[in-house]
Amino acid sequence: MPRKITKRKRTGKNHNGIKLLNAPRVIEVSLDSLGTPTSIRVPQAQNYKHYSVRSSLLALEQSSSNYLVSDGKWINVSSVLDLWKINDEWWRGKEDEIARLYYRLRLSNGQQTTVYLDLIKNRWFRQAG
Amino acid sequence: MVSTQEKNNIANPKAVQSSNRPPRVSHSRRFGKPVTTIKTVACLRIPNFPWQVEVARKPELGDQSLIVAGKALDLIEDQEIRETGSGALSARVVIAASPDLTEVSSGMPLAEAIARHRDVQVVEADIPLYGMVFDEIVENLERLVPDIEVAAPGLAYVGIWGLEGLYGDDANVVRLLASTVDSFDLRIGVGENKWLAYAASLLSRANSGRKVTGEPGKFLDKFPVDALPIPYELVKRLHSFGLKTMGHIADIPRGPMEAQFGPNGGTAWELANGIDHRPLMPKRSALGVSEHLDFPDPTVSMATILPAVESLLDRAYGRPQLSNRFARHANLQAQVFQKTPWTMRVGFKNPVGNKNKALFAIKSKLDTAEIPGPLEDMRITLSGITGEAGRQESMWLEVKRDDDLRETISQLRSRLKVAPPVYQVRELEPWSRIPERRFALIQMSGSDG
Repeated sequence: MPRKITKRKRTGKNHNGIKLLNAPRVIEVSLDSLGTPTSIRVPQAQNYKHYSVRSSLLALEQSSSNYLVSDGKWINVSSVLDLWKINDEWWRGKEDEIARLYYRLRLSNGQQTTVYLDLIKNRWFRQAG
Repeated sequence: MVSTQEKNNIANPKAVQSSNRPPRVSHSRRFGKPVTTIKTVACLRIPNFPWQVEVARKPELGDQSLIVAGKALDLIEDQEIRETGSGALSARVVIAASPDLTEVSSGMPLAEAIARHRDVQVVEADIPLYGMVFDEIVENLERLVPDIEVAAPGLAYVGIWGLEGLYGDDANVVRLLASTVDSFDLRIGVGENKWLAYAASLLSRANSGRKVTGEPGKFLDKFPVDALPIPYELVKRLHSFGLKTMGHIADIPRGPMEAQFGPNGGTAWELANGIDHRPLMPKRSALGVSEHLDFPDPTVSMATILPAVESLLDRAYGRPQLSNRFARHANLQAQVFQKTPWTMRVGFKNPVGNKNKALFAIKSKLDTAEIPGPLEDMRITLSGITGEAGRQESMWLEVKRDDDLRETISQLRSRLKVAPPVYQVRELEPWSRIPERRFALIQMSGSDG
């Protein structure tokens, strides 16, 4: 019986030498009745094996008010600064199409951040760049 | 040179069939007695190799009727395709088919195969992949036996003469060869020449061997002409003349066969009589350095492809095999999104010993090359490696800085035992509306040794 040949998969993270900058990261967003973001929350980091590493990173994040903190707390949105939509690569089919609704938000701590709703997967991400 | 015995055999083919064809004999003047120099050949055949690879890649295809189709490797046909302007369905042929499609044989025009089996699934042949998988098998075999000729992906001939002292008799050698290929259905045949070995492999069972002993004519007598390694059209013509087995061909003198079917008719006659003068041409191992990366997304953009090429060249020239040495050519291979893989060969005018010159040559060729679709990955193989070891340091600061950085990375790698995570920010598609497509970090050292 022939053995199974595993073909390289594009996971979006490791491309054997190329790492994308400004890759989107998952974020949680609560909405008002009109669908506008009212608060956001960065999911707690799961990747750190050692608590000490994670806690020190958290402390580092908290020391700078300019960063979104992955402490699992909700941060209110003060205002929506901008809103735009991207629809691209629709010719590659429904699964590979890119349809995003971007929001430029000002948060209650004064920070500005960009989030988007993936209209295909119906999931929220934050993105720099 | 054709011996007198062979001349007689050609003149009277019945004689070949009725008597043993004597082995080639060389008279040793030193000892005054003949010494037989039969060069026994083993044929390693993986039937329907492309199909087996496709099933191994996608196991769900194993239950389906499947045809692996590709372009016919026939220059005349290629010319016709160019003249008609497009690759018509008839221009494509069957490369391999699942075992349930008994009426389909390799080389058959795809249109004919589909006409016989309407609901069959057609997969485009991935020839570079088959070559790569078979190269791995051959590399394993090369550890055991030195003389291996790769005739096609899935078909190799191995010279097994003179190995008795090392491995014992032919049966032991066959057992040993079979043990090196455990992931595919392998058939092994042993004979006095390549054709007989091939014919024997057609009768052998999975992962075992069969040897032609005694009279080749008798052995081949009932073989169907479809087994002959001749163009499919000639096989059809032979059928139309009522020549369905090797025995039928062997019964006819060579002259009429050549008169009716041309040179291929003569070849068919020789093979039907167990005569094959083709020598075993062992594979020449060439030193090459290969590097590979996957693109985050399929791309046709030169802005993405060129940094990838640069990164691969950087890694390749960082390998110890290319340390202070020069390469004569580069081979680019890429999987193309929903199309057949793409390859491009770049020959350097002078052997190239650094990344920048190689990149310049590749870039020049890429500018005029037609990329068939979005590339999913890229592999660069630098080959034709020369023996020069001299290198002159650059007095220019920028070049020296690059060299120093490469040297530091090399030292870090040897100290850490893994590729150090040193990256360079590169523009990919800075105009893209999608932020993650604009920039990327490209590793400055390979992830493997």
